[in-house]
Amino acid sequence: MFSDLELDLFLKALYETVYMSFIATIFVCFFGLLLGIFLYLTSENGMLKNKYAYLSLSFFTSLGRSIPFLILIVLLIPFTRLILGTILGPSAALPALIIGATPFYGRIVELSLHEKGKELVETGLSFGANTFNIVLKILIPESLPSLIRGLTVTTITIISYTSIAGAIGAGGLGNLAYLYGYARNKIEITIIATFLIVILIIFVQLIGDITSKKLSKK
Amino acid sequence: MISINNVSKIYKTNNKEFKALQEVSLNIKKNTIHGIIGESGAGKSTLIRLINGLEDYQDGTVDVFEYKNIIKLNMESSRMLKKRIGMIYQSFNLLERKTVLENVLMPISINGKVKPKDLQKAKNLINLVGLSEYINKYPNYLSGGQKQRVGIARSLINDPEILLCDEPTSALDPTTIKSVLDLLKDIKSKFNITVVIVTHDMYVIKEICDYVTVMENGKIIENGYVEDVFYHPVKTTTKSLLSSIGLNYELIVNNNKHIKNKYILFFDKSILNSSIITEVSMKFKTSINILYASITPNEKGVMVVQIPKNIEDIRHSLMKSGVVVENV
Amino acid sequence: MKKIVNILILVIVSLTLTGCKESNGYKVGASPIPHKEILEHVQPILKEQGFEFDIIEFTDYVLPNASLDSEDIIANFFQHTPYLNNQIDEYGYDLINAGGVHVEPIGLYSKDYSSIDSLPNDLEIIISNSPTDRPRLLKLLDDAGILEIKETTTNEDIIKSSLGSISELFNSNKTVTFIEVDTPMLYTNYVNKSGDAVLINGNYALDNGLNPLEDALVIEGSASEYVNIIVCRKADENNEFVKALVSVLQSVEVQQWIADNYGGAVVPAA
Repeated sequence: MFSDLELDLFLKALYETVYMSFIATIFVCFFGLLLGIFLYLTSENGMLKNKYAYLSLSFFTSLGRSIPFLILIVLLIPFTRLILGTILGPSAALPALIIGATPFYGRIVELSLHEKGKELVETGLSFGANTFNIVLKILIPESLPSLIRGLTVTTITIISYTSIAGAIGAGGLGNLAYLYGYARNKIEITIIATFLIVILIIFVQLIGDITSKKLSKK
Repeated sequence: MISINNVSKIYKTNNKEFKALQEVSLNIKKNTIHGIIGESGAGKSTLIRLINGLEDYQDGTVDVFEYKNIIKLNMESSRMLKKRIGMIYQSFNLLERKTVLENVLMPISINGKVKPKDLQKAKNLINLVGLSEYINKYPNYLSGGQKQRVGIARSLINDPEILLCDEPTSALDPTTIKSVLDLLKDIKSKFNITVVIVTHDMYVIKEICDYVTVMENGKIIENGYVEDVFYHPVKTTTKSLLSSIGLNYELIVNNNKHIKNKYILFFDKSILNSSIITEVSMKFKTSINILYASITPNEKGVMVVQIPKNIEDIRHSLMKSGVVVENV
Repeated sequence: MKKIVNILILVIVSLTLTGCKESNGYKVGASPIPHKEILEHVQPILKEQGFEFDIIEFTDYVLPNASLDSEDIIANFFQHTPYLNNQIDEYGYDLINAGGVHVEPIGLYSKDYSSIDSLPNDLEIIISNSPTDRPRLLKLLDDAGILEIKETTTNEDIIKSSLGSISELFNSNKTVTFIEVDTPMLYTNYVNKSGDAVLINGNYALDNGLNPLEDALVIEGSASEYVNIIVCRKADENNEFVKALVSVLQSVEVQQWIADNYGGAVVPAA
């Protein structure tokens, strides 16, 4: 159906999307977890309740979530250039992907921790445990299934962000579907690229569901 | 052992003040089972959390063991104090992603390394609560009663001197309640633990408590031996709580106003096996009509009776056998 | 689907237009720089001839033709012929080219290299990701001697090719690699020294204060087919205002003014 060249086109775009999503997800998982934990701890019901810390964290989280992704890419250009030495290609999209998705995951983490937080924290406190151990040994392990579900949603969001990263030459399936499919009136490229995105998302969702189910011990 | 002195706690939310505790004072004796009862919002959960420092307060002091005013303790002392107090909860608060064994070991593993002797102790405790075959199962596999048993085993891992129970039976079905209460009673005598139970269910108090404290609107309204409170309730709230388990002889008295010559008899176990009522009845040729009778877990009894004639002779005779007779 | 898009566009246009100052004169749509400036320059001249008109500013490239088609404006001035043809194909508009005015030359810019000759053999060029710009970009590189488009290569081939396969369409003694970015990102890449050279569209160069004549290594000549044209509906082909507008814009005086005013960055084309 396709020439080798077109196959290369899809493989390259698939690689770019997977590369961007995978690396970004790893960083977002780490930073989002940290952000979410601090949001949780400083919140009204948190162990380190601090109105001003919470409000300022919350403000930057909302800010990060509300900046349109393309604008975020542009705003981050000096930063991206500083740490990566380039503002082009899949790697250059990573800072924007990470900074764009971290607040998203941070909020999910905050919510997950709040779910069973009150009882678990009290139990931990009654053992005489400190905040660090309560978070590390009770809250996070107990919330793991819901943290994984949140990470699945976040990864899918990151995948959809990557198509916008085409603006800085990051390539990817979304970019392929639009520029080489739609804009050049090659409908079959649009369909196959979109299909690959769908497969990728179903795959991520499946892995997330299986992992979270396996972890939930029901 | 536990001494709460004039403690007040006020929650402030949106300029509104809610008085959770108002000048509450309470002493809890070593080696007793002390019940705290009240409607929801009475402040009983707040009160029990004062004892292991989970709640802070504005006024007053809380002294536990040798520690004075425990809210002011440094981190290390506070940890030592908490190690000596176990706690179980209405919703069990087990870790769903840990096995029964891991849950029981949690109070140790969260603060450091689990030693072989801890492991052995955990196994013994799981055995004690009758869950040895579930040792590697996860909580979701267990019934409510079994979960609470895990909670009890967990609360005992640090050899506590006090066991705090926050509504331990409220999430359980009636058949399970009895077995959990029996377990608590066993544990109390086996380990010489002081047990403090918060509940809204008078049945729990009746079954296992030595002392009861009745709370309403953040205040203690009645406090004393279970039978004293049961047989001489003063406050309406106490009476209505008692009537929920049919343990309200005043209700019987009041509901039978048309019956004349009613008397209340209080007695203890020394006369339980004798036929004293029959004896006086025959001796004075008077038919004694029993309107109400009840026996507490401590084997003290109360009876409401109708004595139509010869009351002075009968009273005298009963008093000699150790029965207290009161006029209605 | 297209119908719905068109209806949506119409709604947006009418909302935009009702916001504008009402005048009994004609309305002409234009991009801000340099089209609107050029129209502002000819407003008094046309007034002397008895024609008054308002300028409606558009910052996107779809609405001006949609507004023209819906008769909200009488003419527009922002596009070149290949774009117009593409739009006619896409939307079935009955629009025609009423006359060319100027070219905004695309230029090849580089912070690292000061001349075409000094460009490296392993050459990375950043280009716009707009498909319709592609043939124009390659043509410029061909003119500059960086590469030579094969005789068998058609514009269609260039548009449809991927970045991996495009090198098969030309010969070059350099290894030329292209990287595509959004058109507004071209200038950003230039100032951040991305790649070896950047092809920047004329209006973006102007908007960002570049002078194509001085700053570019090479720019398009005026013979380009990408002359910016006045476009009107076929029905208004002989409209007196449109005829007068085109003839004033193409007059020697106005063409000279364009050359002087933009210092060659906007090249008169009539």
